This record gives sequence, C-alpha cells and structure tokens, in this order.
Amino acid sequence: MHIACPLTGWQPCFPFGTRIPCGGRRIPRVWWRAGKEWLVRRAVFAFNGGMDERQTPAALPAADASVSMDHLLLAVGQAGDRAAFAQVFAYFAPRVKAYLRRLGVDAGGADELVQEVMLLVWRRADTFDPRQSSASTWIFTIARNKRVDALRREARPEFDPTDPLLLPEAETPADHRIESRESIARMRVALNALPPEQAELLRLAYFDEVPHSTISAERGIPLGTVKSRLRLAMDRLRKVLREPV
Amino acid sequence: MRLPTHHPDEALLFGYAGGSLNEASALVLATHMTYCPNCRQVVTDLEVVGGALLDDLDPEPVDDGLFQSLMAQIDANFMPRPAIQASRPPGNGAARHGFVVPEPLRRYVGDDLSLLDWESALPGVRLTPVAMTGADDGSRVQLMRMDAGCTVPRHGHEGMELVVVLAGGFSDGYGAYRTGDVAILHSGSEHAPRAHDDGCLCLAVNMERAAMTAPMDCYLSLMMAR
Ligand SMILES: [Zn+2]
Repeated sequence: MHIACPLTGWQPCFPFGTRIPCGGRRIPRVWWRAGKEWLVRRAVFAFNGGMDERQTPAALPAADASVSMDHLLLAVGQAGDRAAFAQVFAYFAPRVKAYLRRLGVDAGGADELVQEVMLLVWRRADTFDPRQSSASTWIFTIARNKRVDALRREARPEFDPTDPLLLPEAETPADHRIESRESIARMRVALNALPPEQAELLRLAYFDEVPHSTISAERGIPLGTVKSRLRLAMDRLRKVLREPV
Repeated sequence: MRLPTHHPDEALLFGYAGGSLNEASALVLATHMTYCPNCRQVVTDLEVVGGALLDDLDPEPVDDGLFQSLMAQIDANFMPRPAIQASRPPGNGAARHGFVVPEPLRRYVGDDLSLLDWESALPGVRLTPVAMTGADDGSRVQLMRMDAGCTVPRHGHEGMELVVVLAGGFSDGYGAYRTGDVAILHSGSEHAPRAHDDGCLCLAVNMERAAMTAPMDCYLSLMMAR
C-alpha cells in the first residue's frame, strides 16, 4: 500500500524537519502533526473495510473491527457470550489458518490447529485485558505459542511475572504508550510503509522456520546489514506505539 | 538491583516475539527478561507487530463445519476455565544456597543447582548439561560455573554462542557481563572469558560445536562437546 499525505505529498517515514526532495524545503512541525493524524484516520478507514474489500468475509462485522473485536472478546471472557465468540471466530479463524499455512502446515492439519487455537481463545478469554493488548495481539500470542508447541514440539520458555527475581519496570511518567486498540491500526499503517527490504526480514522472524543466523547466509546479505535493517525496523515500529498524535 | 546493560540483539528479540527462535535461545531470552524490564517492553511491542501482521494476512476460509464442531467439543467436555497457572515458588534449594534460580530455567533444572551432575571441564570450570524438551537441533545448552578469577583459554566458535549470567560475572575482550547480561559471540569470533572476583554462574548455549583454536585447548573442546 502506498500512502502519501494529500496535504504535503510526503511519505510517513520522513521525520519532521527532513529536507523534502522537491524544492529542498523542510517539513514544518504542524504538517508533521497533521500528516500523522491523517495516517491514523486512514488506518481506521482501511480497517473498517473501506480499503480492502477482499479481506471482508461475509461474517466480518462491519463496524470498526479493532474496537469491536476487543469488546466481543471481553464479552466472551466475562459472560461466555457465544454469539460474540462466533464473531471472534469468523474474523480470526481464517487469519489464524493463513498464519499456519504460511508456516507450512497443510490445509487439513491447519483446520485442526485452528480449532485448537480457538478453543484456547474460548478457554482463556477471561484473562484477556484490553488495557494490556488488543484482541489481535492477544490471539497472535496464542497462535504463536501453539505453533511452537505443535509444529516444533518444544516448550516455549517465558519469564514468570510473579518470579521473586523479576526486576520491576522503572517508574516512567506515563510512558506515552498509546491505547492498545489504537496500536494495531497504527502498526498496520507502519508495517505497510516499511521499506521492502526491512519488511521481508521482519516476515521471516514471524512467519518462517528459519533461524536468523542463516538468513544472511542464504540471501547473501552481510550479517551486519541484516542487523542494521532489523534495528531500523524496530526503532520505527516501536516509535509508532509511543508518539502522541 | 542493577539493571542489565548487555541485551539480546534485534534479531533475537524479533525471533523471540515472532516465535521463530529455537527453544535454547528462547530460554536465554526469557531468563534475561526476568532481569530486564526494558526487553520485556520491547517484546510486548513486537507482539503488537505480530497482531498487526495477523490482521493483515489474507484470510483463508476454514471448513464450514469447524465452528459447530468446536462448539460441540466445548459442550461435550465442559470444564471450568483453568485458573492462571500458579507459579512454583522457589523451594528449599534457594534457602540453602541463597541463590534463586529464575523461573524459566527452574522448569528445566529445578531450584537446587547443587543436586545437578557437575563435571569438571578445566581447573575451576564446571559444567552441567541442560536438556531441552524439543528435538535435538544441534544446540548445546549448559550451565557453567567458573571460580573467582578463573580464565577459559582463548577459543573461537563455529556457531553462535549465547550466554546469560545468573550470578557473579565475567569479562572478555567484548565487555564485562554481570547478572542478567547477555553475551553474544558470533560465529568466527574468539574470546577468553575470565570470571570476576565473585565467580560466575551462567547459562551458555552453543548453536554448533565449539572449535578451539589452540591444540592445547582441544581438551576443553572435547569436554564441552560431550
Ligand atoms: Zn534487555
């Protein structure tokens, strides 16, 4: 997806103050702000199905998917709401299947694992906290752990939040972290704006069974380049979750 | 307590959040995150990336009857939702030795390291293997104890080595590593780690067999390859 701000024509990857190629002018801070607001509105629009008809199965709720999926999942967790679960299933099951298919699971096996993932979603819905994560992120972590468990038959070591050794977060004032339901919309925009060479490496980390040390060897990219591309991607994506609009 | 200053690199953090990292490396990261609120935050952010990628995938239709059969399954063996798994508190070992094994590792080695089968690899260096749950993927996972001031002779690595310090610390040409710090040694690089004055206990993962550079040190290589 190519996005250029209608107001200024600039690409989202330019920080304010960057010299734009045409005329050599610098982007004023107000334009930067306005552009970012526009990007977020655009993301919500895209999320509502305005952009992407092909991603809208019949059962997909028409309203703002990110918001309603959080609410629906909450209803599943708090009241065991089956109608809400049906909608969560209709939206996420085909995506979890696409995720597993990308990881190399055959179609039949994928359906079986989708069922296992969605069963976990039903069973654990009461631990879902929309202040901590959005429905998409929460379900991604369940699908990811199922992948490690079922595809590689390994345990996934995780830190324990109640471990007496756990060093707590430093007290940072508010941290400017944006709300979880907005985070997904912003992140989708940021991912689509990522330079292709960074996006490709990123997809390997999420969708491939390739240890990262072999990425550079297989693709003939020097290890240092892989690392610097990943660093750029990480900086850019994490910034999206913090900056105030 | 001091926060770690040496962190896993971006590739490892992406791999952990994305799920492509192998079990041994994931154990090093999870152990580090017990001590590192910074990397916990990074991984939380990178899970949002995973959520956005999941959202962006072209949906693949599932079998028509899948939802019904799932609901039937839920009705058939209805069980109360499991309570969140209670963490296992550190047992007697912690009280006896004054050292608490961080949880991700406790699952693998228990809470009393003195009960493990330690083998002497070099004077002042003892090792014990840590078994992974998954299939052998060529990575060797070991706990290593170095006595105060002890040095492991200079050696290189054929594959990547990941080390997370659990107590004490060590220094090599790349830095000084203390509790919670992660040392990454890439394929082809050499080092001669020296334990600090309070000794060093660490978890070391070698992706492939270590290759010692000096013939004298082949002994260590053989010991470590076991
Ligand atoms: Zn860290």
